[in-house]
Order: sequence, then C-alpha cells, then structure tokens
Amino acid sequence: MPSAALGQFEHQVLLAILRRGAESYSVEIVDELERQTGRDVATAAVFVSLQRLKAKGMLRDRLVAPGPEGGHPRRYFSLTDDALSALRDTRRSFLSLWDGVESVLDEGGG
Amino acid sequence: MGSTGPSPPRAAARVLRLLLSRQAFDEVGAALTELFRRRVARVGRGAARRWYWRQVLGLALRRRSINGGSGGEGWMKGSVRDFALAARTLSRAPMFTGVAALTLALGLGANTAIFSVIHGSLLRPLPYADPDGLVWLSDGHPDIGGSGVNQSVPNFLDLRDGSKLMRSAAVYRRLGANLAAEDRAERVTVLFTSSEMLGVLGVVPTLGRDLRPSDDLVDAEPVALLTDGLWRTWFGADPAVVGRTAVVDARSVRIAGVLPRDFWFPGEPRLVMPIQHVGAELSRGSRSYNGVARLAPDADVEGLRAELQGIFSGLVTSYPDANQGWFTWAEPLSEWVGGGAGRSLLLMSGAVALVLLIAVVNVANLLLVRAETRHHELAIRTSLGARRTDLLSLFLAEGILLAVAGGALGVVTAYWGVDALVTAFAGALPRPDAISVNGTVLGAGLALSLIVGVLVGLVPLARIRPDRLQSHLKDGSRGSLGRGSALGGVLVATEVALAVVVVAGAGLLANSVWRIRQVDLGVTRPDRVMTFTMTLPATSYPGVSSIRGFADEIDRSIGVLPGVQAVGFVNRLPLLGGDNTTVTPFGDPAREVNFTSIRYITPGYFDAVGAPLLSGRWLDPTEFSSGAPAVVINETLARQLFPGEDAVGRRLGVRWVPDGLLVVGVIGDIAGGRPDRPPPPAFYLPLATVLEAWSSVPRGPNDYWGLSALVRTAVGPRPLMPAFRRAVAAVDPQLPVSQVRTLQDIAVERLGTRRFAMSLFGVFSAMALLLGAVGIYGVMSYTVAHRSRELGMRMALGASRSTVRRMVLGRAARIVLPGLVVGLVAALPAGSVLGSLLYEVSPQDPWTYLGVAALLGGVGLAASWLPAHRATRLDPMESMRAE
Repeated sequence: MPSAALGQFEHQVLLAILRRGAESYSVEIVDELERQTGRDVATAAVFVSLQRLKAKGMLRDRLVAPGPEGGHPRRYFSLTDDALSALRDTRRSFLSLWDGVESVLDEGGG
Repeated sequence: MGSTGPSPPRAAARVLRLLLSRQAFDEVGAALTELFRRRVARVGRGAARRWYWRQVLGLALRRRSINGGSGGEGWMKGSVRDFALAARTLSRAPMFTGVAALTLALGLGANTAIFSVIHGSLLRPLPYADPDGLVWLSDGHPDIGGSGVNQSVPNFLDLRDGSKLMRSAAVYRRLGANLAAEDRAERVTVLFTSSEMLGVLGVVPTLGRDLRPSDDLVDAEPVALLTDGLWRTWFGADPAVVGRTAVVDARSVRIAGVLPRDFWFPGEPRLVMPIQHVGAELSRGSRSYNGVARLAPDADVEGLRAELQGIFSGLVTSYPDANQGWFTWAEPLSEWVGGGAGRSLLLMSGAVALVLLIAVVNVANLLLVRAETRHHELAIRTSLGARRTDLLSLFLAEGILLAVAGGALGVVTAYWGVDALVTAFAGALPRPDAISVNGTVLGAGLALSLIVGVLVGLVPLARIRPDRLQSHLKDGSRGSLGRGSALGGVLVATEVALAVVVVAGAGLLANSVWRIRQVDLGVTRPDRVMTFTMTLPATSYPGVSSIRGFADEIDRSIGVLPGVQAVGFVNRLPLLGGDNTTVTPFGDPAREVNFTSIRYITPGYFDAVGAPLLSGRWLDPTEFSSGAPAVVINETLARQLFPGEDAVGRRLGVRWVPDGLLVVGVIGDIAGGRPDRPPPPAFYLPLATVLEAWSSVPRGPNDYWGLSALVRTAVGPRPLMPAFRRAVAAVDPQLPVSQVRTLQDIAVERLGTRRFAMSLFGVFSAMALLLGAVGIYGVMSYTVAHRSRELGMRMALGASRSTVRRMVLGRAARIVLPGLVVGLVAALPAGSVLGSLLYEVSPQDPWTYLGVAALLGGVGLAASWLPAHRATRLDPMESMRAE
C-alpha cells in the first residue's frame, strides 16, 4: 500500500474530487467540501492538502492556460490509482470496524 | 473568466502578494478571489471580506508549505536554515556586523537602563498590601507653593477622628538618630510613628510584635522595631534579639520586633519607633509630621480630600493662630513617592526612545547600503530559485540576529548604566533600592529587540526586486544607485531631524542649569567650605550650657588646625530649606512676613559662609556670649519688613521674644533650598539667644538639637575632614558625624532632578550626535564610492579639486539641511514638554535652537569632510578604468 497514512482532511479532499467525478480545480473542491460538510473550509488547508496528496502520488495535476476571455491559469487535479486504492482500503477497514455497531448507535441514539 | 465582480479587500490582497511566491500567488490568489465573489453573492460583502481576511491569515501561517510546492518543508526547519544562513552571512562581514550591533546596543542598552529605572521607581507597586488604597496626607499654604507641607499631630488627630472615609491612619516623621548597640554607633534614620502605621501599610513583623497603642503613651517604655538589614548587620540575625536594648539618642530603647526583609518606607528608615504623642504637649502650630491613611472601602482620594478639608475648616475657625491661611491635602501614596522624578523619567524615556529610533534608522541605512552591494549575491540566489519571500526571511533573520546581539550587548551596558545612574542620582530617584535589571526589564528588552530586528530587516526589501535582480546578473551593472542613495539620504535626514530634537532638549536643560548656576548663591567659594552635621540628643545635652560648651570646644579645637580660616555652627546649612517662623516689625503685628528662615549661629558663621555685610554691623562677641536679643537680617527681609527704610536699629517681632529683636546689620541674600525660587527672607541670631529663649520649653525624650558645622579652609577642605572628625570625637565619642559634604556639593545637590535630567539628556545627545555623524559619513562615503566614475570624469574634464569637494559637500548639505529644518520644527513643540524643568529659559529659546542647528550642521560638515576629501584624491584615469 503506497504512503499509507491518509489524514482525515486529505481523505475528505480525495472524496470531494471523487464525488465531482472529473478533474477539479481548487475552487470547485472547496465548494464541494463546504457543500458536503456544511461548514466553512480553510482554503489554506485545502491548498496544503492538495500539495501533500500530490507529493504522496495520490493526485495528478494539469495546468490549464486561461481561455480567450482572460483570467488566470487553473490547476486541475484528478485521482491516481494509488488514491483510489487508498480510498478503497480506508473504506474497507472502516466498514469492518463499523460492522455490527451501527444498529447499536441507532438504538442508543433513539 | 471571473475577471469582473467585487474585489477582495485590497490590503489583504497585498499582504497575500507579499507573502506568496509569484507562482503560488497566481494560482491561490485567483482561486481565493473567485471564492470571495461567490461568497459575496451568498453571504454579503461584509461577511465575505471578513472571510477573505481569515483565509489570508491562514495562508500566511502556512505560506511555506504553499510556496514550497512539493517540498513540504516545515516552518521550523526553514527558520533554522534562515538563521544559520544569516549568521554565516553576517560573520563574513565582521566590520558591518560589529558596527550595526554596537549601534543597536547603544540604543537598546540606553532604553533598557531607563526602563529599569522607570520600572523600579514608578511602575513597581509599593511593597505594601493593596498599595492603591494608601494615601499620603499633608498640609498646604499658598505662600510656600501649595500642598506637601508637614502637618501637626493635634491637627492630624482631629482629622482622623472626624473622618469616615479613612479606615485607618497613622502620623509619622523621619528623623536622624544616633544609634548605639553591640559596641557600634552610627547615625540612622528613624521612622517615628503612631502605633497604627504597620497596620495601615499591611506589614507584619517577622519577629516579636507590632507597635501597640500603649507604646504611644508619653511615659511608656520606649520600644523599637529593627529593619531586617539592621537586625542582620548589627545583631547577626539573632532570633533572641527581641527584648534586648539598644541606645537611641542616649536613651535606652527595648527592641520589640524585627520587620520583614522587604519592608521599605520613603527615606529608608532603619528603625521604627513610637512618637509617644499620647499625653504629650504637642503644639498645633508646629508642623513636622505627615499622615499615611488607608481609604475605607468605596472611598476615593477626591472624596477624602473634600471630607478632610471640611473638617480642617472647622480647625481653622477653632485654632486660627495655628491654621489661618492653611489647607489640608490628600494624594495617593504612590504619587507622592514618585514625586517630581516621574515627569523627568517619562521625559527620559521619550529622549531615549528617540535615540533608539536614530540607531534603528542608522542600522536600516547600513543594511540598505549593504543590500545594494549584495545585488550580485542576491541575484545568484534568485536565479537559483530563491523567491522574494525567501529573501524576506533572510533579511528578517539578519535583522533579528543583529538586534538580539545588540540587545544582549545592550543588557550588559544597561547593568553597568543602571548602577552608574543609581550611584550618581540616588537622591533624585524615588526608590533607588527597587531599581534593577530584572526579569520584567529583560523581557521588555528582548521584545524591543525583536521589534527592532523586524523593522531593520524589512527596510532592505524595499530596495530588492527579484525580477530586476535577474537582469542585473545579465548585464553586470551595479544596480540602481541613484534611488538607493536617495532613500539612504532620506534615512540620514530623518536621523538628523531626530537628533535635533534630542540635542535641543539637552540644550534647553543645560541652558537652565547654567542659568541656575549663574544665580548668585550669596556665599563665597563654596568649594572651600566643608560642612557636617551633628545631632545632640536632649538626653545628653539637656541645657543651654552643655550645648554652648560643646560648640565652643569644637570651635576651638578645629579653629587651631592649620589651613582652617573660620569655623561656624548653624541650625540649618545655607542653600537648604530650614526652620521657618513668622516675623513682623515690632509692634505692628498686621504686617507679618510668613516663612521667614530662622538661623541661629555661632560667631564664626558669617566668616565661614562669606556673606557680604550691606549695612550696619556684624553681631559682636558679647552679643554672642550673652545671648543678646540682636539679629542680622537679610536684604529680602529688610525690604519686606521695612520697605524704603533703613532696617538697622529697628526691631523684629517674634512670638517667643517679648521685647523683639534688635536689627544690628543687613547682609546679602543667601539662596534657599529651591533653586527656582528667589532667596527666602531670613534672620540670623546668636545660638545663645535661642537657647535662652527656649530654655523654658520642656524637652521631650525624642527632642534633639541639630547643629551643622561650616569650616572654611585656605585650600580644598576634604583632606582635613579626618582631623575634624577627631576633634568631634575628642569632645563626644558617642556622637556620630553625618552628611559630610562641601557647600559646593550642596549647591550641586539642590539642582536635584534637573541635574539628573540634564546629565542624561547630555549623554543621549552625545549618542544621537555620534549616530548621526556615523549615518552621514556612511551615506556620503557610499555616494563618493559609487560616483567615483562620474567624479573622475569631471576631474579629467578639468573640474578642480575644490569644485569636486563643493559637489560632495553640497550633496551632504542637501541631506542635512532638510533634516535640520524638520528637526527644528518638531523640536519647538517638544521643547515645551520640558516645562517645569526649565529655568528662565523659554522652551522656544532662539539661541538654544541656533546653537543646536550650528552644532548639527558642524557635525554634518565634519562627517562629510572625509568622504569629500577622498573624492578630491581620486585619480581620474583609475576611477574610470575601474568601471
């Protein structure tokens, strides 16, 4: 398993990109995170995580030059196979941990 | 593509631009703007702006990670690398580093020293329980400059009994006393107080007991509390000291307790004893005491003041003789302790802050010049991938290293400086014992160093543009000389302006002190007059004859010493305040002169002082020996009592001599204790006369006769002092001699805070001038070095050496003159801050400012002379080839 340790926020960032289903750039990722978590997200944390994930080989990026209407270049990120397998591993271990506990929570929370 | 719409806060965007590398900014900045615009649509502009600032802050904190791309290097690691690099860079330029660190050490050291003094004297709370609840009580009279005068015990007791706003109060006075115990004798200050004092202050003895009301009775056995220091040095910290006896003014006193180690009281008494006022006959008009009180809960000083004055009005009606014309006053104890020094200390801190500012500007200028000469190095760093932020970190690290090194050196200077200050000016400082370079002071010094480091570190960045550095490397040019030296010029002009303010302050103070010293003190050659004081306790000198016998005997034995020209005794030395009384022309009680200084003397006094006789005659030997009611008065009293008439032959009315005193002569005025006030009215009468007149007054156990000796000698009197001491010891071996000094010393001491302020301002001015000169020299040397090609060219084309010199000096003048003008304009209002420290000098005194301008102009000229001279020595061919 490559660069096993996946921080919680990094996990969320990867999921946000995965949910969008395509290449995403920073603004879209921040938007997606805020929509899903219902909270403000620190942009600095997103940028740092994107760089870190790239360094871990979980993201690949592509710089896209601004179109004819001007603006700035955007860096688009997509998941690598390593990222997908890390997500899969994480999910599997969580599910096995959750196995048999969810019903208890449901009853207790009632 | 999102290029229109509301803009994020401009300042925040600028901060972001400064923090991030160009590449990171392009991406992150654009994304942040886009997110900002979406947010404006969602939550409104205000909330979006706040959000933007928060994001910038977050990015600032993690800028290394964001700038660092894939490197992911930690902040700590980067900082350590920056500081290591800065340390290496600085150590490669030892001359530069030394000068810069020394410059900062000067500024930071002076600030640390002054802050130590301010912290110890004014900021550190008084060592009592809840010191803010303590007030100091005094009387006041408009004729002697308002409040702050002593009170009488009967008045105090009536005030205390009538007040509801004081929870407790004690009355006290401090007196010197002769302490003898354990085979030692020394003169010590005693705090005579009513038994409530320690309770008011919240001080508990560590051994034995506090004073109690029974100690206040006039016939109680006298007791004393020892200070911790006295207990340790005299009694070897013996825990069994309580119950033993000591001898105070020839009276046996039982030791009742020992005070805590941190006990302190103004005047630094070493013994605390009861006044024993209960049952004693104490005069209501005799003001020798003051009160200390603790406010009742919810009471304040203003309220107490009003309440006490209300009670006091009743006392004026009931006892007009003692209280007519007087008022009573209360002020926070801490304010009274801080006294007049507070203002001058704050002034000092202002001046010293200016010196630091000059030092900072100077070092900033040095760094700036260095940054210009480092273009090549910086260009290489940039081409190897260093970003603007990396250069910023490097410069900040250099600045902080320099400042911390300077601060550390400064602390060493401060240790030494504080010692020197306290030694030289202990008398002018409120709590010299509390002054030290302590943790608080060091912390403040470190914080100041860091701020200074950041400031000086940021300056060179203004001159460095990585984009230009790239082109620099290509064409090998020397960078933008013109703008660099222009900024340097502005910095140096700023230094000059700041220096003008400091030097102008020093000039005004020096001018005041000079004027005070020009005032005729009314004494001749004070440096040739030795003075010392003895206190004759009433217990061993009970009557007239014993005191006269003592004075005569010492007079005789000192008078025969070689080199002694005159010996005299007096109750209070000249140039000091003293005992006052009210006098009238005899038989005309309506025309009274209050606060007339009364001095009782022995025959040699006038010769010893050297005061001129203006009319009439001196007191003659028979008048001295018989105690005749004859007096000599001073010019001021003659003018006030007998305006336009001859005073000789008239009589003075005083309460305690029924037939008045015959005026036999008028002498010149002798200055009093306040250097900024005219000499007080005064009269002089034989010691014997006073002793006779007061012989019927019962003497209490704490009473004493204070006698000071004045000995005029043919040459400097100090070498004779041991012989004087021997003469006193031969007459009374138990009697300590205290306050040994010349009249000249007294003349200097009475300048008090002014002398302190003037000396320090003088030191700060010298620093300001030195730093200013270094700054001017630096910028001019730099200019000459960088314009050598142009100057060489001019000389090759026929410019004479004097033309070249004029050019360089002209450039210096264009820097110094604007600084002078700005400084003078700024100094005019700053001068009035000195206010009460000035004496007969206007805060806008044109001569002082003219002098300051000339001085700084001269320093500017001198500092640029060498570079100008160097310019004229340039070899035209060589300087052109060198380019």
